[in-house]
Amino acid sequence: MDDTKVTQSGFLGLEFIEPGDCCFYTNPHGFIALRLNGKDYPRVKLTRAYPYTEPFAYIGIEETDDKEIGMLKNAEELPAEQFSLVRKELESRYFCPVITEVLSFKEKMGHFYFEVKIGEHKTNFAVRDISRNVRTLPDGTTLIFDMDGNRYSIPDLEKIDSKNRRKIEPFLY
Amino acid sequence: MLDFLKKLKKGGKHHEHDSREMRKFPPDVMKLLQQAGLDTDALIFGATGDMDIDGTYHTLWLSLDEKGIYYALGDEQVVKAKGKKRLETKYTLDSLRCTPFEDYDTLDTERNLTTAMLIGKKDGEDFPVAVFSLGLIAKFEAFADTFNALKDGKSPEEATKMPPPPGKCPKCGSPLPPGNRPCPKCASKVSTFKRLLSFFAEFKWKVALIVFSMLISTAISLIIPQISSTYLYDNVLNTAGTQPYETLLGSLISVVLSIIAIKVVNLLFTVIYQYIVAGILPWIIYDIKLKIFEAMQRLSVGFYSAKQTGSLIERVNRDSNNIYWFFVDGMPYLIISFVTVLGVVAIMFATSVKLTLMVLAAIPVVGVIYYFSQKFFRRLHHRNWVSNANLTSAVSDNVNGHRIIKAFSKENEEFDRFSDKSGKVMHSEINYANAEATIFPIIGLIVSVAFALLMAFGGKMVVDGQITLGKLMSFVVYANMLQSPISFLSWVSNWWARCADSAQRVFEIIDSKPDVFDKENPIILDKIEGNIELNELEFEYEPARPIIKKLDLKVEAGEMLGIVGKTGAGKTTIANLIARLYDAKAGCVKIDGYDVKDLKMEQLRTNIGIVSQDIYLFIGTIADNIRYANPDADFSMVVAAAKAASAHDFIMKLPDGYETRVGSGGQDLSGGERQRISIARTIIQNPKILILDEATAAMDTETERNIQNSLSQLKHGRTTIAIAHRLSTLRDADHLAVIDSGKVVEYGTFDELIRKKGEYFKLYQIQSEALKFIGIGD
Repeated sequence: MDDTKVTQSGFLGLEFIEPGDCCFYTNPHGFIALRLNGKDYPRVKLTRAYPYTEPFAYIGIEETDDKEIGMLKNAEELPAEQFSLVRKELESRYFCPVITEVLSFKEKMGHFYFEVKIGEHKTNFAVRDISRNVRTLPDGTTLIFDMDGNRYSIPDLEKIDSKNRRKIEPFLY
Repeated sequence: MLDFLKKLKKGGKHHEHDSREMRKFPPDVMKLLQQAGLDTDALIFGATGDMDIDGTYHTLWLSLDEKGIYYALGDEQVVKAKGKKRLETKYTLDSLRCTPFEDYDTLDTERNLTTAMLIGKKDGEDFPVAVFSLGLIAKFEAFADTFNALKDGKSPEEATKMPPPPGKCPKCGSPLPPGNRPCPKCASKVSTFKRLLSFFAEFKWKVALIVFSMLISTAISLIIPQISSTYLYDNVLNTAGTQPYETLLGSLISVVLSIIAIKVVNLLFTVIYQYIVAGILPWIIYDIKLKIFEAMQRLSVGFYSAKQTGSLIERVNRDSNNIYWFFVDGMPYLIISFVTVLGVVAIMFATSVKLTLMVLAAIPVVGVIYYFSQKFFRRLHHRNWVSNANLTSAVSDNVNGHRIIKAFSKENEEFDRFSDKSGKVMHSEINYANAEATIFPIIGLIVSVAFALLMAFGGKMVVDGQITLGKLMSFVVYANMLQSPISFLSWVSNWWARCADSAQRVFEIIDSKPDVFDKENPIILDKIEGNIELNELEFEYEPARPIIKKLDLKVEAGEMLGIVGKTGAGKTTIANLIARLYDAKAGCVKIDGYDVKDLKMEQLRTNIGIVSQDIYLFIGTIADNIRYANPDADFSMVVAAAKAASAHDFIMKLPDGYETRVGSGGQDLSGGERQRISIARTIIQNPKILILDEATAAMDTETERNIQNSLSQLKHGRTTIAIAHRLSTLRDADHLAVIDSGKVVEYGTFDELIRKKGEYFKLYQIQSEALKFIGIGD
């Protein structure tokens, strides 16, 4: 636990990576890489500690073998071009298709079949055990996990057409 | 002479006072003992048993003074005294025997399955002293304590200063259930009803309106036959031929219209009362549920371990629903039925006394038939319910044990078991349907025959001109109206019994008093330093099964104490007593020199952090769970605490990080992962006293080492008590205490204990041998 220290109040504090000490760049294969205090990490993984409430803060930086290098308290404090690199990496890593329209919603034998539109693309998926696999986030976003482990999000349920919304709503907690 | 009488009176009073204070025997027994030559004034303590030493039932009065122990065997019989209404207890004394005080060094109690024994010890040898039913053990324990105290040279006054015996209800004298719950015998069903009604007090005007509209609607329904039968037959139809056709048609229409109008008014009142009932009752049920839940939060740990979780959850839900349905369905219908019966009978009397008497004679018969058929159906229904419950449990047993069934290849046997249980359900359902198909037509037949008889007599009266046809027709309608209220009244008592049962269970929780509570004006310290002192601590979960026996232990602020010992030695109990989850039976726990019973519980508990063996995660995110003790903690504090608990790495590997949902219905975590989250939860609480009760038992040694390293950073200014089986866990402890059967058997630093070559050394050797054996020891 080399990045924790005891603060004056007797409580554990956390040492973050200083935005000035690090430099993100893209390696020749297109992966994000990091130079920290003169040391090069040819490929790093970025992980969100609080993916929903703090998407660009508390970013864990790990080596490819999951060993943590450190944590960035706020990626937005990085210089603009570096932040956009980090942002791009995080957004691609945490990509979650946004459902723009629910075309139909049916229940059959305990399985829930969705036919949805993601942008202009039509798709369908099935959800089992809806109480476990649908989650509403504090900001009102609804996340749906399908049987194959894919996740979909509905940022604003109000925008889904009312007929299908009324069908879905009783199953949301 | 007068003086002598006065003295006698005084003596008598004194005697009575004694028997209460020193817990001796009833005055009559004392008299018997005195007659047998015992100096009853010198007696210090007495206990009444129910067996002699061979285990045959007799009454044993065991008493004690400074010279010896006296066994008086006899009998007590409850007899009806001549000429008096009250019962009286007669005592007889068969034998009296004495053992000198010097014969035993100490007395002790020992439990058997349903009996217990008082044992005398002398020079390491045990002697049986008395045998008695297990339920009396607390009394004999007090007896033994008194004896031992006298042996220790204490005065009789000191020796009898014992905690009060298990509670008895001051009203009825029957023993109280443990945990300060109200006497079940005294909580009668009448008072339960009164209490339930008290919930309605807030809404008394609305309730009055309900009853009023119910009465109106019942009254209206009583009027209808007057118009639809009496008036229609006698004043409209009977005039056919004497009146012009148009007039006849007109009055017919007016009759139909007035019936419709009355029905509408009736409906209006029915809607009103149902509307109000629906508005009030959910409030009352909400109120009751809140009260149960509040009471449950207030109650101490002991209550929860005594009750099954399932029955508690069921209480909150099912019992309040039972009450709800009785009041929403039962009560209004009860009032309506009652008023209907009264009204109908009155109108029937007004119509024809003769016919009414005939109907009244039939009512008890019908009522009895209804009552017994209800009882019969209930029994069938219960049988059906039991077989269904059996089937359900068989299925859940099968589903939960599916791995084992497959591993032992027992699918066919399981199928047979299922088909057997399922067959029982089928048979009980067939029985029920058959009974329904037989009994209801029979009842219907009896009722039809009764009505046919009524029509025959009534018809004869019409022919004789005693009553009109219209009156007879309305009379029949009224008699019909009696049917459903009578069937309802014949079984409403069962319904009420079920509701009262539920209500009583609910009140039992609401009335319970917590075993552990703040005293008046508790001390609030500016700051808790973390000095812990246990003084002659004694504790037992059940009487005469001591878990902690006169335990002394001291931990200085900032120190780390390691506690080792076998399973069941009382290690966890010590932790529970320090946090005052339970109160000690004798002795005390002192924090910074103050008895924990004097300190404010909230301050105490926020300053003590316990990571216990059983971990519970609440429904919510991991971050919520870590922040539980300190909701203001910011994200970096959460991460820091998780890092200190070696939880950060696995949390970051979860797709939702710290916002992963855990608890029931959430992400499945392993035992070690949950344990680490609970350590983080305690770290963020930043307590002055940290108790780790096998906190790292489910982790591998490397993770444990990591956690220890971070905890040792936190040790500064914090008192830590670590309980463990694995001795390596206690590597950093300043002092170690070895606990065995509720006592500290060894205490010292690691080096001291190793040099001493005692219990700790033995444990240490066993564990390091084991490590050597698998090739990782030194």
